[in-house]
Amino acid sequence: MANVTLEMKEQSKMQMSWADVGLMVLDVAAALALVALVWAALLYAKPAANLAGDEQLAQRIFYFHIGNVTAAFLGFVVSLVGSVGYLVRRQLGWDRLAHAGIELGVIFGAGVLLSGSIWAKPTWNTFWTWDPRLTTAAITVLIYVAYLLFRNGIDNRHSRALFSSIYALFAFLSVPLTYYSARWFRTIHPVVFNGSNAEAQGDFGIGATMSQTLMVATLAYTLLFAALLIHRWRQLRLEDELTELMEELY
Amino acid sequence: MIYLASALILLWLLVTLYVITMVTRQRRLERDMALLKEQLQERRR
Repeated sequence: MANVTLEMKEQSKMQMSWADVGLMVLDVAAALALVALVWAALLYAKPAANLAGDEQLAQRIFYFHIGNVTAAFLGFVVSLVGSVGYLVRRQLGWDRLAHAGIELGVIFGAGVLLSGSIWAKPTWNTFWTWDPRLTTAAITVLIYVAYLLFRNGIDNRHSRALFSSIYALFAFLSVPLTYYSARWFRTIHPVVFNGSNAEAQGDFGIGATMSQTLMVATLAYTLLFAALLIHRWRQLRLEDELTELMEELY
Repeated sequence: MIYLASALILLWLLVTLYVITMVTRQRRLERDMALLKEQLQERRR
């Protein structure tokens, strides 16, 4: 049985499927979009008129910050979909989706914290402050880091998938809390979309070139996220297949 | 300028390190798969 399965896998690996070609196109599109983003963020977007010096230059970090926010948010939403999918269907493919989504969510979430901290230094004169938005964002990333550590502690694949899915459902509660923290609580973090914050420090008006660059950032990071998600999901599938074969053999 | 440059470098470094990790894992998986194939062939003999 293991022999036949392995041979079938080897044969399918030899042929390049339409899915492989599609993924390659997605990789190239993501790379091109990222190049376009660097150009737009550094050269095309006009500087913020109400800022000056280092603060004005650091404002350009905002485009990458928002890109990372988009990708991290997508990662956490995908993890929610994957977790609900596993709890309903009990198929490991859904759990792999949740796992890949959270891994990417953590990577891009770390990017959000990193870019935000560097932007904060010339704007707020500190890399970090225990502001509600910053605190909730850091807690969200840590909750998902804990998910990855928690998974590693369970050997049985179905038990791991079940407990991880339940954990991920509760973990997702921190995502809307982070989004609304700058609206519900007193914070110095600017509110860029759907609202404003009178107490924000380092706020700026978004002109036409800025908003176009933001669109490029959202598109570029969405493509990058999608490409990495598919690659990682496939890799996790291969890992599971290898484990299954090993279990059959030994 | 230093803030913008360091943010860009660190952000790309983060993604690059993740991609390198993925490539390393993929190589290890392929090596394990090849090893398994060899063991199966030996069993057949």
